Amino acid sequence: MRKKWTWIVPLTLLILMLPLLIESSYFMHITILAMIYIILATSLNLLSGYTGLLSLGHHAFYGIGAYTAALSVMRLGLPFLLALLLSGILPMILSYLVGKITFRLRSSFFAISTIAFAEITRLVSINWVELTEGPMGLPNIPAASIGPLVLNSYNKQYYLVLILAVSSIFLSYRIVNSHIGRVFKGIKDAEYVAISTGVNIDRYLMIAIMAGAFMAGIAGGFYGQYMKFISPDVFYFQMTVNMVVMVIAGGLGTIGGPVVGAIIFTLAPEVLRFSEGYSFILYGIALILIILFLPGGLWSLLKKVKNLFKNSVYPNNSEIEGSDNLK
Amino acid sequence: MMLEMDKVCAAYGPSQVLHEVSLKIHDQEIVTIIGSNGAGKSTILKTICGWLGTTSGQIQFAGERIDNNETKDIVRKGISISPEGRRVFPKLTVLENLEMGAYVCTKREFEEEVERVYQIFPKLKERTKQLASSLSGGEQQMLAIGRAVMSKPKLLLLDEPSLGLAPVMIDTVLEAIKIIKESGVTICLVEQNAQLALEIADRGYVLETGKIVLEGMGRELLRNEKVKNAYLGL
Repeated sequence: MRKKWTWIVPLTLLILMLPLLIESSYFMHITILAMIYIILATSLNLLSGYTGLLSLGHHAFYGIGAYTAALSVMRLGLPFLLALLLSGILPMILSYLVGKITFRLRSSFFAISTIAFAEITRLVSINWVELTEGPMGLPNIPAASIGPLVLNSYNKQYYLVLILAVSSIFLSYRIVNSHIGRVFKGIKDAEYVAISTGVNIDRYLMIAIMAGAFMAGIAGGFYGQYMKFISPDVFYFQMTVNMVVMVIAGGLGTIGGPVVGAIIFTLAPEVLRFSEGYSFILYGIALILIILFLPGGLWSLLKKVKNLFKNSVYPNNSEIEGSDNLK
Repeated sequence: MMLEMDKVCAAYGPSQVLHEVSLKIHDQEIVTIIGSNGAGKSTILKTICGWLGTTSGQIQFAGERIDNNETKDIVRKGISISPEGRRVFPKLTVLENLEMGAYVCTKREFEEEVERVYQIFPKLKERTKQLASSLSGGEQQMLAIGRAVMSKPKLLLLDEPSLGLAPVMIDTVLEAIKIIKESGVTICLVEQNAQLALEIADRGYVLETGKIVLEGMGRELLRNEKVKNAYLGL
């Protein structure tokens, strides 16, 4: 047990001191984007990673969250924290309706119907000009203020998004390590058997999608005030593609996977910038290689490396089959 | 009367599978339904536990109509099923599999029930933290039955528990079924292996192309010429 904690202290310190270490505002911006994606990938992972229902409309919750927070601050003059809360709650309510309709579908049929839902929200955001200003977008969203504290610097924004990201990782950890998580795995593993045990499948899928929508909405709420501008682009399909890539490449159905995936795939386009038009090709090749050779995602690679290290230090401590599950 | 099916018809799409099936299961007995492939044995279980709707007729459980109810409600009323082909959750541990079966009990009941399942199947206790996929076929079947017992059913439906098991394992499973029966659970056993099923059953029904063609006490059916010819290969 003690060994497990040794790496957590330096890691926590590193994360807390990151703004001091990074001087360039450009890198701070990338770091904050990575944090937003950590929340998004973690939220998608609850439904798609753990229960196995691939949602391709998850960005809709993010977009609705972004508009909800921005509009309730700008039009209704609500304090930021309340607006942020609303930006989680409204998508959560909508996700309930989406779930009611789509949970009778599975696999690609479910995926397609969630795309349809997201497209509807995108079209509404473009055409409901009275509310959203349409394609013009909402400029001049005021920066978040909590009491007298105005988050007007990258560093302050970083700490807010850090709190949000850590909370969503924690929330999702608590969910999947409870009896709810066991049902999620059961549904993914053998839905037929899960039904036979008398589990109300829809109820558990609903928990997954609603918790996911809540987190994604909060991420959107944060994004709006951080960028100070939102437009119907937040409903762009690429958002979900990014999230799905992060979850799959990071490791479906693990807590660490989406986090690793989000960090790497936010950094990758920036690192690959020198390659100009080829960056998407490299991105694609990387993804194919990961799927082919690391079906468990990058997280499983980290684990393998860790085990390798362990075995070389204690040559007699060979890994027992299936003992992964006991930890 | 534990369960009564009265002239139940059921169909998969346009093709009718059950034709006016009527059967009765009394308290604390083992009733078996035997028949060849495709006779509709599993379909009967599916209609009882709500996977398949009936097109006519009614099913009563403890005096209450349950046909066309949802599975989750039926499990709560006290019917539990161990589906065909040793269905377990391969990526969950043995204990987690049992927990999955215990959705209708409280934590305290759960611990008692786990102990009870481990008494019936001591093998499972040794493997409590192993993944279900690492168990042998026989152990998986034990786990599937154990999980079904976890919800404290009044009526336990077993779909082909002997399927694909080594003879030694079959004996263990049959012993377990008897123990479960003695603890006060009524059992409905669907089997292709007619000999085995009739030996431990109190009563039996013979199903042919969706119709009940014969019924009687287990031993009577074992001696019945028609059953001997068609199902026992004597």
